[in-house]
Amino acid sequence: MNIIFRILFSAALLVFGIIFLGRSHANAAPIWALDAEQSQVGFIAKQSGADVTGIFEQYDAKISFHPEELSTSHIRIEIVTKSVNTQSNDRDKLIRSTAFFDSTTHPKAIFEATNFENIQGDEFVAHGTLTMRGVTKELDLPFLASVDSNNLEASGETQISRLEYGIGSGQWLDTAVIGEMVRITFAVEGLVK
Amino acid sequence: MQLRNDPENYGLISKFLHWSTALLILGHIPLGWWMRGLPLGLDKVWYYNLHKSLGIIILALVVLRIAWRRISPPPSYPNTMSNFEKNTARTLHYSLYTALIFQPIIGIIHSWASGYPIVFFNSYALPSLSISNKSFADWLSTSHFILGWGIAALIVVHIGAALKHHYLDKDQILIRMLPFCRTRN
Repeated sequence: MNIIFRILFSAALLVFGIIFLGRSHANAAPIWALDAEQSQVGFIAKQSGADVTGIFEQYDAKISFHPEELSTSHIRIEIVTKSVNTQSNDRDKLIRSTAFFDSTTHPKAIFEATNFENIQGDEFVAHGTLTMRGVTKELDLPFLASVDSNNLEASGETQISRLEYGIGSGQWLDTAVIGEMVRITFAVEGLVK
Repeated sequence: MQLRNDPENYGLISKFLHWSTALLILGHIPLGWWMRGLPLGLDKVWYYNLHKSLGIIILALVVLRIAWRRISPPPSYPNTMSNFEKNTARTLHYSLYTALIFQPIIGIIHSWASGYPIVFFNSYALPSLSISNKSFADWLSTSHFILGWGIAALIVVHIGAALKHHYLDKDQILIRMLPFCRTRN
C-alpha cells in the first residue's frame, strides 16, 4: 500500500512538474545567443541609382522571442556605427563622419521592440523604435522567423528615410548621388541560451 | 586627305584615332592624379565618374584603333631604321596598346569591387557586377595607380622617340602622323 502510494505521489509530482515547467517555458520567450558567423545586420542604399550594400561588423543583440510568446518577446539591437563596412575605406569614413552617422558623438544605432504581431505563419512585424544620431522614431520591422526547440532563424528588412534621422547633411541633403531611402536588412541565427 | 593608310602615310581615320586618344590620355592622367586627393563629396564623385567615362571612351578608341590596324595596316618603318630600332618601336607600341586596354578594364572592375557604380558622364548608371571586396578593390586600385605611371612613362618615351626621329634622324615618322601633313614622296 505504502509503495503504491509512493508511486502515485511520484507520478503526480512528475505530472505537476511537467505542467509547471511547460507553463514556465511557454510563458517566457526564450533568450537567443546569436551565431555571429551566420548573422548579419546591414543596409542597402542607392548610390547614383545603383545598390550599395553595407554591413555593421559589431553589434550587440538581445533577442528574447518565441512565436507563441509574443507578449513576452523583446528585441534590442545596438549597432556600433563605426563598424560599418561597405568595401570602401573612403565611403566608410564618410558614413562615420559628422555628415552621416557622426559615430564619435553617436556611437550606437539602436532598434528596440516589445510589441510583436503575427501576420500569418512565420511572418511577423516588430513594432519598435529606431534611434540613430540621437533621433528616435517608431519603426515597423517585418520579418520571417522560425523557431524550433533550440534554434532560431529570422530575417527581414524595412525601409527608412535617412534624412528623417539627419543622416546626410550639407551637400548630402542632395539625394541624386545617395538616395534618401535606405533598406535596413538583417538575417540572424541563434541558439537558445 | 584619304581615310585609309597607305605605305607612306597615315590616313585620316588613323590620325583621328591617334590624336583623340592622345588628347584624352593627356587630360586623363592628371585628372586621375588630382582627384585622388579630393575629400569624398559630390565633387569627387562627379570627377571620378568623368574619369571613368573618359576611360571607357579611351578603351573604345584603342579597340577601334587595333581593329583599324588590321583593316588598314599602318605604313612600314623607314629603311633608315635599324632592326633594333624597329623592334623597340614595335614593342613600345604594343606595350602602349596593351596597357591602354588593361588600364580601363582594371578601373571598371575596381569600381565594381569597391561598390561604386559607373555613371557615364554623370547621367547614366552603367550595369554593375556585385563583387564588392575591399582587399580585391585595394589591389586593383594599386594596380591602376602603378599602370597609370607605366603609361605615363611609355608616353614620355613615345614622344621622345617621335622628337628624336624628327630632329635627330630627320625622317618622316613624326610628319606622317601629324594632322593635315603628308610625307613628300
